[in-house]
Amino acid sequence: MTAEEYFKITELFPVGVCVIDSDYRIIFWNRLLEDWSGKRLKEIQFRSLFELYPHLSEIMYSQRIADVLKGGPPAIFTSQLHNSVIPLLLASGEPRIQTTTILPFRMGDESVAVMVIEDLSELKKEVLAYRKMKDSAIIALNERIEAEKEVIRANDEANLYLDIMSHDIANINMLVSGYSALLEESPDKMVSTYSKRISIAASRSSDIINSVSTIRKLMEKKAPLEPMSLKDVVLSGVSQYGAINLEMFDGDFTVMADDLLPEIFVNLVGNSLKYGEKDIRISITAKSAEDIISVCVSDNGPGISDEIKPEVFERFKRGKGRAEAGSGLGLYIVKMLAERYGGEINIKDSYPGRKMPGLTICFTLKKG
Amino acid sequence: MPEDIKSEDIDAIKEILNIGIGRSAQMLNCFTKSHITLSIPEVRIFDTENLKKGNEKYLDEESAAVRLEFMGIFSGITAVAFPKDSVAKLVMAMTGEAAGTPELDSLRIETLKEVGNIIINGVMGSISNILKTHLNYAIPYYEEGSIIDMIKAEKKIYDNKVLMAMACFTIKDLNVEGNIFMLLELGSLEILIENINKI
Repeated sequence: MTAEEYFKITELFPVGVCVIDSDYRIIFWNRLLEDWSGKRLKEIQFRSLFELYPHLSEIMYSQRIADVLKGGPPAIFTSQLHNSVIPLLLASGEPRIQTTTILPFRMGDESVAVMVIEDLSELKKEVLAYRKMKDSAIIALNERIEAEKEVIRANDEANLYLDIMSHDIANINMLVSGYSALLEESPDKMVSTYSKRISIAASRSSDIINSVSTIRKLMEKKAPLEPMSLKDVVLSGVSQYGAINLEMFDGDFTVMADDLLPEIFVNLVGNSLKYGEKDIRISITAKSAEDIISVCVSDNGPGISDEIKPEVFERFKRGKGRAEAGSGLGLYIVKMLAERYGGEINIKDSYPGRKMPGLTICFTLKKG
Repeated sequence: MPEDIKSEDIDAIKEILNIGIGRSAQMLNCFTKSHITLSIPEVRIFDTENLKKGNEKYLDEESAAVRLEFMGIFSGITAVAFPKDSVAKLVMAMTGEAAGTPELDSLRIETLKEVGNIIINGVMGSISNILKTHLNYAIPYYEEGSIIDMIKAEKKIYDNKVLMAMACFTIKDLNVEGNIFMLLELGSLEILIENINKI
């Protein structure tokens, strides 16, 4: 039986097959190898492997091929570590990436070595494209992580400056308020009038500092909501205003909130006092409905015109003619807090149609 | 170590393996970009029935292995297994890849197959040369998993003793400890030791 007859079946294989005898002569190679190499079997049959491919004389090839011909274990050669056993080119002229496995084989009485050549060119292309994509993704991810770290660092730095500034301005405001309060008592009417304006300006400056501090806490704090007494929260919020004309709901309700909830009452009650007459009346009501508590803060003050109402919860929006004081952040904070607690907020006149319609702001809180 | 295996037998096996692996290192140094040293500092024989998860930590870790089945006067499987999380770096050092993510992709697996093949062939060549016996071999192949799972997944009836050799692979600034394990068919370990003692 000839080598061609022995290995005829390999003509159907999707791999290159080359057989060498114990004298390192090529005795067979299949049609696929003919196509890949451009060499017909008849041209190379019985020619020395080393004559056709001189690099195979190097020990790293010759020794391993010799071991296989002696019946040793199969040898694997890849294109990543060295040149291919049988260098082959693609149509583009680039080297074909291969894995060659050389196996010992008994052809009748003769020991031969069968070289099986797999083409990995497409696989290499895909792997290289994948590596490139993955490396780019990792670089992009690392850049993003670095950018995020930089944002956190910059944010910390900004907060530090803000803390220092808030602290120093609050101290100055306190001094200004103290001295202007003294001057308000002056018998000189002009001094007294200007001092009152200075007091209002200092108070507004303090409001701005407080509002900015609350917004910062609001943006930073991600603490889980906890059940708490609504009555305690209201009392804590309005305590700073001293004795005021306030009517409050009976009993108590448990709501889900955090330690920023008093800020809602600080701002709403503070607004009523700020814009109302000296005898302003404020009422806080609370009603339970299913899983929510509906809270309303009402006053009998001047109110806000209907065209301004939709905008008052926006940052730095203030009612027309409300130049007395205020940062324009109070209602913005109230809305942010109401939404933080999963509730809704709305605004309406307390006494529609009256000259002094007052203002009622209602919001909902989840039951605790 | 099982009682019926003498420490001299282990020493003899270790010597044969070191001769083989020395040959492998010589061969690998012909074409790798950085100098490689290979050694076998330790050989142990485990009783497979007593091998349980967690007993030997390195047997549980995810490995990338090249294995070769052989048949002759003694038969079984020889495999070389590397820890999967360090083998990509090893392959990259051998091929001279400077940058990139050390991930064991298909191309690097192909390279590892050749490296593993050279190591196993060195070891098996050394055994068959010294014992002057001819062995027949199947085609080597690659597989992943823990060594313990690879051992336990074998369906043939193997000896309850598995020969485990630690292989230290040093290249560039990289030290990787692999394992060569030999799972022998029933009675083959005795034949192997008997033949070694005849030398």
